[in-house]
Amino acid sequence: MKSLLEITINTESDIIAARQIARETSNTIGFDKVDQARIVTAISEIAKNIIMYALVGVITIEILEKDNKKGISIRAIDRGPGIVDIKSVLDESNLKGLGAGLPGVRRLMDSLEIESDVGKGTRVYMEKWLR
Amino acid sequence: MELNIHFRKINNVLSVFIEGEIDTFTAPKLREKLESIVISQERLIELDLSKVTYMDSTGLGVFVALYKNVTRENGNLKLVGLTARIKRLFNITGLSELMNIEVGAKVE
Repeated sequence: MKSLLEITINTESDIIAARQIARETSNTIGFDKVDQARIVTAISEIAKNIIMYALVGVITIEILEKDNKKGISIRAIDRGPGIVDIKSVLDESNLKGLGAGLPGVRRLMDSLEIESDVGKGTRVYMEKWLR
Repeated sequence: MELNIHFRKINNVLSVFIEGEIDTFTAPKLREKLESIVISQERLIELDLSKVTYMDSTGLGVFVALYKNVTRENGNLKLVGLTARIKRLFNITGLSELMNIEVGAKVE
């Protein structure tokens, strides 16, 4: 089973759509309610970041299978301004917005990777695996 | 948190922020990410290790492999933000003599 879902993020309602798809996909994979909530929260954060900073972007959700393990990956790509100070946005003590921010996303998921090309865009990739 | 790797590109400087533990388990992921870097003479590759909480010889091996690739391609590599413990590993192996290392320096 391999599934790839792509959601264009442009408005607030796209965030809701992304949340729904993330919840359904993580439920299909077998994540419990708590992990489903973690995944949904993480996707909310990165979708919100797209709208706040890049205005438009694409989120791709994929079901992962490796060594008899199942998981989910979420990839967000935008052509916004990029992140100049990656260390600062990952710093737990430096939260500015209302949400959990990227440190929150990192805690909710198993891994988080940020690629920022300043002035050109940002790519965020995260995974969570079934235990 | 095991190991997270982030990239930031500004003009000709590629900064790589490494967070977490570098050991036998996580080193393959780090190696794969570092091997994906395009090396060129014009580009400075800056590895920020200030958030590395643990590193063993496997980690050193990964950095030596990158150093060899960068040297072969006449590129530029700098390690920054090393904690005293990590710096000691580079010192006792003699790698600090070869590599461009800045202790505790922060990438702006």
